[in-house]
Amino acid sequence: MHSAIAAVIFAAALITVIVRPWRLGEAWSAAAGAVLMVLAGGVSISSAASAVASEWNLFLFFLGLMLTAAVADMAGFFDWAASLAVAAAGGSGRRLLFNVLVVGTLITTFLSNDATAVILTPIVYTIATRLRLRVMPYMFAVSFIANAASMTLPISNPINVLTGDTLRAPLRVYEGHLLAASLASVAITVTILMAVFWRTTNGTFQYDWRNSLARASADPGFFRPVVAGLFVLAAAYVVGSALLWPLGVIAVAGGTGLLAIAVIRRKVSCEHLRAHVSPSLFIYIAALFILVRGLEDAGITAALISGTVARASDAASAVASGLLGSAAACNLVNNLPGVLLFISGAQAGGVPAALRLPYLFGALAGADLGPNLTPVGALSTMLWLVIVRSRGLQVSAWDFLRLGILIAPLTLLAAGALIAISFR
Amino acid sequence: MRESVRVLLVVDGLHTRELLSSVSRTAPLTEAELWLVYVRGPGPRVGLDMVRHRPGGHPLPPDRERGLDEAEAARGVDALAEAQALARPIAAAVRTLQLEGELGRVVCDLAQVEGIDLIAIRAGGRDQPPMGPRSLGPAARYIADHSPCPVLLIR
Repeated sequence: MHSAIAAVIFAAALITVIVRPWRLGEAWSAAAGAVLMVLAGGVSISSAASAVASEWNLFLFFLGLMLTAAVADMAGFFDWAASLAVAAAGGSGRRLLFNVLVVGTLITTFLSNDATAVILTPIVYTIATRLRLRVMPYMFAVSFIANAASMTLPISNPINVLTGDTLRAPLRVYEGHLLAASLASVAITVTILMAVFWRTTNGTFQYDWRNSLARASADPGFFRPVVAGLFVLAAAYVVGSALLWPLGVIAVAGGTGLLAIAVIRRKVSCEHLRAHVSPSLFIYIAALFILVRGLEDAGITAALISGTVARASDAASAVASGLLGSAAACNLVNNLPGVLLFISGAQAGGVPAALRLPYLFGALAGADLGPNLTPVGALSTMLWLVIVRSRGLQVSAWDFLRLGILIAPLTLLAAGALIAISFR
Repeated sequence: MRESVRVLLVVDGLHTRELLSSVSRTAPLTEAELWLVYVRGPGPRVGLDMVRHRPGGHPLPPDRERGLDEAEAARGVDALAEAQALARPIAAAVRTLQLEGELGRVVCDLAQVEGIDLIAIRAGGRDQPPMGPRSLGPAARYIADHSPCPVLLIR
């Protein structure tokens, strides 16, 4: 009975998150589900509190990322990076596409996939629009590379931090299993996007990139310390990952340091802070932790995960189980709740101890790369796209899906094979 | 009673030269009043929001929003200026218009109100090379279905 109630509440909350009735935000749907889970006895108040409190590192990491992104945006760092990409393109639409992919890879690697998707996207949109190039190839590039490059470092995707807290794997081990897979997924994504858009990005453009670069770094007294701070923060992430320091603490320290620079230079923009720092994201994540704890306490996650891993007899098959299972889950219910189910199940004993590491590395890769099947890894978007398309808007919904069907399976296959080889 | 024919050409900023060349081969523009219309549709911006969307996400900061609006408007101005320069030598009179809304609907409404005699539009509005059989883009299809006047679809 307990497990039935927990399962129904979890499913109802996720459906509400996906369908977004009355344009209700995800955070409030998930929060209502979490409250219901507690009221229905699916999870005790102390267990709910412990589920949220135990993930302090992830909450701090998100906060740090948001502060960092907000200050970097205020300083014009992303505009500067995009202007460099335009300058290096030398007036060629094709080279610009390649450069956007390179910039997207670097920003994703050191500032997370969210920074690429949320901040770089509008900048690239503005540039492509202004240059009278076709906009969508560049939008696709940013969207797909944000996921494809998000395995590179433990900080490249908040999902990695979440999984890393369970894995407790130092950087050497992390990269030993994932670096080759990450490089392969970036290479495959770049190759496919360049090939698909080779003809449609053959335009040329003229652009005053010197003026644009100068505008982006108009206040050197603010811009330079922020860029230096970003480099220091990137180095701290690498060192912290190697020494297993909590990345959330590093992220918040870095974000706060950058904010201090903005305060000292009197450049704090409340509009940017409001746009980048989202309290409702914390509510969403906390609610998901409580919902998944409800399933875990009912024994559902362990049973689910042991079902997906039942046929795994060695590291390679464990990698495949984790990879395919989490990729499927992430495309059905968005990657955060999807990967939470897998971590919870593995922690609750659903995976044999000997296969835990390959299984979780596989699940991490599936959660990072799987969302490329649908660009934001959510059924809601697919449904919404269908509705938008039916209204005659040229959103290229099916182009998104067609590219995803091309890119996601290839990157998942390559990543799965390379991770499996790393366990030999 | 109007003497000249009114031809409305939907300018997309990407294929202006080819579109004008095709129209001038098909319709006698030397006697025509050519309306060059650029429509800022919601499509690309909807695509942008879709890519950006994250749980708990917020709208763009106002300066970014302004930047996007300015870039979109400037793109339209540039596209129309280029089209106008190319059209002047081949048409009796040229008029440019930048409008906002869903392309198909805006063009059909304009054609109805202004008594346009012919609408010319690129047949495929897709940004990508089609993998399947080539069909009409959604805007061209809407115009073909709802136009109050003849429509010239240009490949």
